[in-house]
Parts: sequence; C-alpha cells; structure tokens
Amino acid sequence: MTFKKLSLISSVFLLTFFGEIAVNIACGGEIDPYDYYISYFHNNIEGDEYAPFAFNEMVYLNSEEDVESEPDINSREWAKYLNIKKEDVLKVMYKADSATSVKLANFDGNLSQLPDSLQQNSFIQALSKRKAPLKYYLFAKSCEPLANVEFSLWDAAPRDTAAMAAKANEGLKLTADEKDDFLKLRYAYQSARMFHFGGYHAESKSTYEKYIKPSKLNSAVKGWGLALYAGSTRRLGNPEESAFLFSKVFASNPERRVQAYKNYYYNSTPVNGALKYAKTDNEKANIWAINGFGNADSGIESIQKVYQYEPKSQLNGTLLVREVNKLEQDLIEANDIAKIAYNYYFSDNGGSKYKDSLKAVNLKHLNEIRNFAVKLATEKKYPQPELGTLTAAYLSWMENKDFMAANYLAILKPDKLPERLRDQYRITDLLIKAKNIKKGSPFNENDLLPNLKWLDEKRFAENKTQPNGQYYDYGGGAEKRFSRTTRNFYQQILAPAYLSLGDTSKAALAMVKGDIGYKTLKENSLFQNMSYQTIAFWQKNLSPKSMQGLAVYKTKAAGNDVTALLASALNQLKNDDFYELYGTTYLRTHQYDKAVQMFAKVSADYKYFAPENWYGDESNSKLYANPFIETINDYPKQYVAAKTSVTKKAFAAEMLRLQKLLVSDKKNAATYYYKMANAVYQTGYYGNSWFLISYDWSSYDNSAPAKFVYDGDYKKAQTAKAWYLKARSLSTNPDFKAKCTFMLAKCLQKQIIMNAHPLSFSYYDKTDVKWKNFIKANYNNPYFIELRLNYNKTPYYQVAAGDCSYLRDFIAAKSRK
Amino acid sequence: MRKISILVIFAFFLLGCKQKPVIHPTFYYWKTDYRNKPAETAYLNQFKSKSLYVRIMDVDFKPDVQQAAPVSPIKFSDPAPSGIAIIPVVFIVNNVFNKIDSQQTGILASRIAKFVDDKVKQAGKQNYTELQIDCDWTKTTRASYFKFLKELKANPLLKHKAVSVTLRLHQVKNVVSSGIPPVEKAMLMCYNMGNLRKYGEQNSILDQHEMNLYLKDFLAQYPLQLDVALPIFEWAVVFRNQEYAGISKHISKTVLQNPKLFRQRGNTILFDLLVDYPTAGLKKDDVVRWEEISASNLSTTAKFLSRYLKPEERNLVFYHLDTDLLKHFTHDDFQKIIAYL
Repeated sequence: MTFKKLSLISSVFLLTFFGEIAVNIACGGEIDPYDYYISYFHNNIEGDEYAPFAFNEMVYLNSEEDVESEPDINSREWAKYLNIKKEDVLKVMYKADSATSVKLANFDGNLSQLPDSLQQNSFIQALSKRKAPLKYYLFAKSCEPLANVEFSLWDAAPRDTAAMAAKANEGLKLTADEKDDFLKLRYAYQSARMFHFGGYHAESKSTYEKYIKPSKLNSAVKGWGLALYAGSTRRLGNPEESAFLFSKVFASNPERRVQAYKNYYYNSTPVNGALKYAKTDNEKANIWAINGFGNADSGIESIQKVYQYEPKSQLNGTLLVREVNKLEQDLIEANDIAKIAYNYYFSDNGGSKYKDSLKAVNLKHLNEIRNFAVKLATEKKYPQPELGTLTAAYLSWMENKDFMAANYLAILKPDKLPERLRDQYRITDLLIKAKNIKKGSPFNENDLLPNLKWLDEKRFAENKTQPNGQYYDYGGGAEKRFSRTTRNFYQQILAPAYLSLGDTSKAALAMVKGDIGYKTLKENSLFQNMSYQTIAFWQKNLSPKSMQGLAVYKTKAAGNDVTALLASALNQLKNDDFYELYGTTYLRTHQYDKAVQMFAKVSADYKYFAPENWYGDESNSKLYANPFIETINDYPKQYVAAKTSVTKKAFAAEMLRLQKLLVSDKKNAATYYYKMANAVYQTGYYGNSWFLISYDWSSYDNSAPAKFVYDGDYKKAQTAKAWYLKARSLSTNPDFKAKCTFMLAKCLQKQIIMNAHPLSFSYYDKTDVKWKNFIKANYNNPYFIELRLNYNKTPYYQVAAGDCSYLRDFIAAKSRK
Repeated sequence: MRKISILVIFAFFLLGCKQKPVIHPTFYYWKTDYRNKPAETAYLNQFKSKSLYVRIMDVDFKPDVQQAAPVSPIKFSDPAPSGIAIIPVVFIVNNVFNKIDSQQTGILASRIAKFVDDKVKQAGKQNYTELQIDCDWTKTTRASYFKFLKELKANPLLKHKAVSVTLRLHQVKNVVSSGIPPVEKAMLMCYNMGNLRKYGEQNSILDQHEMNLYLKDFLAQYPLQLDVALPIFEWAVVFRNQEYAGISKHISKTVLQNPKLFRQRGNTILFDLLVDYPTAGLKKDDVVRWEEISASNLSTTAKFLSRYLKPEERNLVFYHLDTDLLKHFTHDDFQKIIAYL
C-alpha cells in the first residue's frame, strides 16, 4: 500500500470515525465504551482465558482485571504447603484491616496476641506451631511498609532506598540459610523485590538468577520473580530482552497477564525485537499474540503467525473474534432511522469517493479474515473448529452475501455446539433470516419467533432488576451482550425493514421492543423507558396514520406471532404518552376535532411538557404557551405564567371552536381565520408555543431543511400564511387587511431565512456577499411592497413601521428613491 | 580659611565618590543530587555567602496524566551546608501555563509550596525565607502565570516568605507585552541570551551585543528590585550540516584541542570535526561551537550592568556551583567581578 493511499485512507477513516463519534456525542450522552458501534458477534464466544484483550478501541484494555486472582493463587499454594484451608490464608494475608495487620506484624506465635476471630484461623494456628514459616511470614510483613507506598506525583519524600537495600540483603541471607524450598523461593522473591523497588537492578537480577530461576518448585512465585527480572532488564537498558521476558510472564501467569502485557508495551520495541530471543513455538506465538492484541488495525499477520506456531491455543480464537469485532466497527453502518444526525456538519466533502476506497480496504480485510476462518475450520487443529465456520457465516452476512452465509451455517450442527457458539449460531441464523423481510418476499416473519423469544429470555436474564432511576438505561456494562444484540436487532434490522415495507407503525413498535430490557417495569411511562433514538423516531416521524396503525397493533398483543411479541412490549407501557403524541400528530395536521378526542384519553393528572426557562429563576423555571396573541416582533418571545397557559388540550379545543365558527358564523370568518393564523404562527420556531407541536427546539432548527411533517408550521409558517391570505381575502377593512399583509410578510420571512442558509455565513460580516443578499431579500419582501403600495394610509401601517425595523428601513430606502 | 577649604575639598571627595552598594555573592546549585563537595562549600565560605539558590525541581505538563508534575526533584544525599540558608528554586516550563486552566493554577501553587517545604526539610533546614520561581513566560501565558504567583504568595506556607522570579532580557525590554510580575524582587538572568540553535560564531551564553539591545535603554527603568545571575558554565554546541544537533556531554575543551579530532576555525569558537567520533556520537564534518565564559567577559558584563542598575544592595548569583567549572576562575577573578557590579 503506497504512503499516499495509506494517508488518504487513514485520514478519511479518522474523519468518519471521529465524525461519527462526534455526532453520537452531540446527539446522545457520553460514549459507552462497550456500546459504541453496532455489534452482533459476542466478544467472548471463544472462551474467557484472554477476556481483558477483547477488541475495544475506546479503552486501553477491555478489562483491567486478570482472569485469575493472585491472592487466590498464593493462598492456595500456602494452603497446600501447610495443609490448611485456603480461605483462612486469604483472610489473613489479603483481607486483614490495618489494625489487625499491625498485630500480625508483631505476632510471635502466641495466639492470645490476636483477636478471637483469628485465633481459630487455621493459617494462624499453623504459623503458631511451625517456626520456619512464621519466621518467613514475619520477614514478609517487615517488607510491607517499604513496598506498600502509595504513589503520588507530588509526594516529595523519596523512596527509602537504603532501607530497601538493607532489607534485601537481610532477605538474601535468609534465602541462603533456608533449606525448605517453598520458603526459600519466597525469601528470594522478597529480596529481589526489595532490590527492584530500591533501584538496585543488577542485584535484583542476580537474585533471580541464583535462587528463583533454578527452583524446582512449580509455583506462581517463579513467574512473579520473572516479572521483576524483566522489569530490571528494562531499567538496565535492554528493552527487547525485557519485552521477551514479559511475554514469558504473559504466557505462564494468568494472574499477571495484564501487567505483563502493559510492561511489554512500555518497552516500545517492534515485534522482531522480542522475537530475537524466542526459541520455542510457544514463545513466538505469545509474542505475536501480544502484538495482535495491541493492534487496532488488521491483525491478519499476527493471527496467521500465532496459528502457525500454536494452532491449539485459545489465543487464536481471541484474535479471530477481535478481527470480527473490528470489521463490525468498520463495516456496519448505524441506521439513522430517526433522522437525528446533523447532516451539515459532515456533508460530502467529495466524500463518496473516499468512502468507497475505505470500504474496499475493509472488504479486503474481511476476505482475509474469512479465508483464515475457513482454514481454521477445515484443518481442525484448533479445538473448536466450528468457530471458524460460524465466523465465515457471519462475515458473509455482513458482506450481504446471504446465500453464502446460509451455506456456511448449514454446515454446523447447533445441538453439538458448545453453549456460546450455539448462542452465536442462533443470532447469526436470526440475522440471515431477517434479511428476507422485504418487498415481494414470501418470507413469513413468524419463522423468527422462536429465536426472538429466546433472545428476550437472554436479555431479561442480564437485566434482572430495574434501577430506581427514571432514565432509560442504556444497557451499559461489558457483560450485557445479549441486551445490546437484542436492541440492535430490533432497532437496526427489524425496524428499518418494516419501514422499507412501508409499515411505519410496525417500525415504531420494533423500536420500542428494542428498548425494553426488563421483564417487569417499575416506572412504566412510555417515553421514560425509551432511548433517544426511539423517542426521536416516535415524536418526529409518526403521523396520525401511523398512530392509528399502532392503536390497531396494540389490540393484537394476544396472538402467538411476531406482531403480538412487539405489541405486548408496547402494552407494558402506560397509554398517556401514547395518546398525548397521538393528539399532537393531529394538531400538526390541523385536525382539531380528532386531537380533542385523543387528549381526552390522557389522564387528568398528566404533566404536559413545558420547556425549561434557562434564564429564569426558581419560580420561573418553565415556559408556558400563549398562542393566541398578536405580535409585531417575534423577539422577545412572550410567554405566560402557568395559570394562564394554554395546554395542548385547551389549544385543540379552542382551535376546534374557531374552526366550527368558520362555518356557523361566516360573516366573521376573516377574524377567525386571523386568530387561527396567529395561533399556528406561534407554534412555529419563532413563536412562544412551539412545544404544542414540537418536542424540542434548537437554535439551529431554522437553518436546517424541513424534514418532518410539522416543519411546515414549525419552520416555514405555511399554514399561517394560507390562513392569513384567507383572512385578508374575506375582509373589506383596509386596516385589517394591512395587518394580514404584514403578518404575511413575517411568514414569508421565515422562508427567506431558510433559503439563505444562515449557517453558511457570519451574520456580522457585512462584506460577505451572502450577507448582503440575505439583507436584500429581507428588504425586498413582496408583502412589504404590497403594504406600502396599498395600505400606507392605514393606522396599522404606522404602528408596524414604528415597531418593525425591517419595514422601517424598507420604507426609508424606497422613499429615498 | 585654609582649614575650611581642606574641609570643603574633603567633603567633595567624600560626596564625589559613588557609594558602592553591597553585593552578596553566591551560587545556584543545579544538580539533581546534592552532595557537599569541599571545594564548592569552600567557595561559599570564601564569599561569606549567606544563602545558596538550590533547584528543587522542574515542573512540566505530563500529557498521560493531564496535569503538571514534578520532574527530577533534587535528592539530598548530604544535608545542605550549615550556616547557609537555602533559597529554593522551582523551574516551571512555560507550556504548563498554556495547558492548565484558571482553576488549576491555585492547585499548582499549593502543591509546589508543600513540595518545596518538604524538600527544604530534607535538606536539613527548618525554614527558608525566599522562594524563587524560574519561568520564561510569554505574552499568552502571562495572565495565568501572574495569577499563579499571586496564589503562591497567598499560600499559608509562604507566609512571611518572599517570592521572587527570574527575569530574562527580553522581558526587561518588552515590559508592555511581558508585564511586570506581581512580586517584590526579580533575578536578572544574564545568560542564554543568544540563539543557541542558530548556526554561527556567536556565543549564545553571553553576548554584549544582545545585552545592549535589550538592556541599554530599558534596564534602568525596570521597576522591580533586581538581583543578578551570571554564567560560569560552558558547553559544546553541535551542528550537523549547519543545523542544530544538540549539546554534547562528551566534548570538553581538552577534546577540542586534540589536533587529530578537531581543527579550530581561525579565531572563532567553531571547531570542525575531522574524523568520525563515535564516543560522542559525532560524525566527520560536524561542527562544534565551544561556548565558555572568561573572567574578563564577566567583568565587562558587570561593568555594563552597574551603569544601569540602581545603587542598592543585591545578590550576585553565579550559575552554577560545580567543582569543574570553578577550576577556570580564581578567587581574585570573582572579587573583581563583584567589585565591578
């Protein structure tokens, strides 16, 4: 790959990668490092041996906890040596509080010195009876104050290296004199450790070489000693050898694997540096594996090398699963069903060409991994060759080669698979089948039902107790794999499929199903339990027709099909939010009679949404709608107090009343149209009642193009304009007509602003041609022209000119001509 | 009549003689391990120095922990000499003030105060009376740095103690953009005034031309009380293909005088390397600029400064205390320099 291509690809990757992250951050909360890309391939199906090294680009290690516990291992060794209980050793060595620890450091074998709870402890009793282990124990305790110093950057006290050296030499003498191998090894370890911490690295190394390395014991302590030795090697200026030695610790001591991995990398040597010292296949495999674990790009080289040297090792499985996760991150595009991504931040900067070349690179990677997976499966050297077949199936699905995916899957016998592979089989099967949900396909979605029910159970098992908090739980945490898979399936696969079939209601249903991870809900209002994507999809995208469809689906929860499964999820939730939204969709389409009906179904004590007043104090914390006012200036917005606020319900009722009067009192129709126009104008972005039809408001909204049904009112003042025109045409009063004309000018101005793309220029740069055009368009508003031509003698004209600076400037400019 | 005229003439002599201000000579100690070397302590005694400026630590911004942290703090293998007070010095890399925000300057000040306090006690001293902050601040870091100094002064550990700062030549000239730090006293650093990394024959440590440029018209007006720091160090600046390549730890004057290795260029301080010299990591055709300071350089500098400095008591601090450096000067040399200031 040429440098140019590489830099091109990496810069595009970085742009899209960080761009996507930025959008996620802008739109959602903080990134969850275990849920930052769409994934269906669980990262632990190969086993847990190398769990800390599962792929994760958001954190240094997927987990910092080793798969085995050092306290456990050490306690077991002591328990075996003294023929006592492991838990007793653990309690004394690792779980004593500081006061007890002091007593223990002074323990001379006399049980009465210690608290009752310890007198019965078998480890303590053994120490009281045997001189040599007790002597070692006390020596080890005497090293503790020197070793257990908390590191602080700003601590001025230097390490007491002199005391450490003295301790180490004392230990060396004890090592030499000790005949018992078990204790001898440990004395040597303490000495090497003291030398190491004191900075006496040559002495630390020679202690290891003389006493630890030749020990015939099969003990984890040898590995810990090797870790010190490797560290001293690094301090003495041999990074490559140090890296090699740490790779040995990585292989032999699972309780020190994370430490060994980190220290391998502190040496900053290339893979060939450590390889120089590797003699056996196992050593080479581990070095290549460590390199693979630290690689966020394609790891095909490492995985092939590890397989070449140690085909049986679980390292292969871990590396393979990592590659699949990387490919998921690179190839699976998140579906923005709610259309919430802000397009104008990352619009195509000649993007498609770069996107294509990036995709080509990723597909090449996919093919390499699939080929390897097939090799793993067919050669049967790896203990679970089915992992390879499963991987090949999944990767083929990712590549949209469904036929190939199904064929790979067909090779496997799910009943014979180990549990995790069997689970992954079911998920892959589900994914492949779901692709058949499309127009013209005879596929029956109910074929998916058994697997969907199974996923539900898996998800419920991960989410046994619902937290008391009110907010949607993102299903965070490394272990909630099924929660993420299930949610992703419903929201990324099923909902878009239904949408493309034209069934928006079912898509909405699937979104909800995707979010409910609990079997029972403590707090069951709809929008409190939904993710941001689902809420946005519902609140922005649904029409009265889709709500109607949902109402119908809600009656179908009793069946034994997918529809019933989805509907019963929705039915777990209270109806208030549902009917409130239903009513709002009717407000948006100006069907006020139906709106009134829907709001009647909402509980009397329902708290309708009122936006925060960011500039107000405690008593003025919310904003309340005031739609029926007449205004000349849009700004400042004129809100009211809670008492006189107009709720959606009241708004619908009043608009309905006015609508009826249009028919029954035709004489005054103009006035009614005018009032309705004012109200619907106020429900726009510029008005004080926007929250009657929209669930949020952003200062960027007036410059983003119209996307949703209610944008006609919210962004463009279209209905207001139509009704003002009607009002004007039905009236004969010139003053009234002047008012309507002025309002029409305001409506048109909303369009002028949108068309000018206000984000594309600075409002304060008066030299910018875009700014000049924008101002010109405002001042040449055709309704201003009409106003001046036909209504310049009316009283309203003077009032408007007094309050509206645009009009004033327009008049002044025209008068000068 | 005669008696009166003698009296008058005597009075004129008395008044005519310029009052020489008292100069307190001492040194900077700039190594990371304090050891009491007899030759060095002897100089302090000869000078009758009441104090020694001791570098406690550097402070730099560590990206991996996203905070300012101590770098190479001093270790006291021996206690500081008795009868001589310590003036602790903390060098802060200017970039720190680019990286930390206004909340963090206060935290930094208290951390430094505590750290210095602990270190002074490790040196075997109960207390100290002055803390010096060494930072080459710029226009952009000025506000943050001055805020830091104010917070440092307000710290309880610095009650009844003075805070002073180092001052570089450009900050004397560009008082408007550099500002005047909110302290009582500053140390004028009369060294490292030239461009170290520029290839040429100039001595970047001490350069009269630079001093003229920056101090001649400005030093007399500087409003803070000033101490003076003068260099006695030397180093070998290496250039490869006329590009700065670093300062070599392995080159000394003796090595430069080896005709098999180096050839001096005329009367300049440039030396051409004739063959590869792997011991020092150098290659043939590398050029070494040997920068050193002579007693007469320092005398000239002292004379120059005395023209513009107010006639008041001040410290004269030589950078830095090291047996090898002291070998190039005699006690008389130093006395002359002190007398000229």
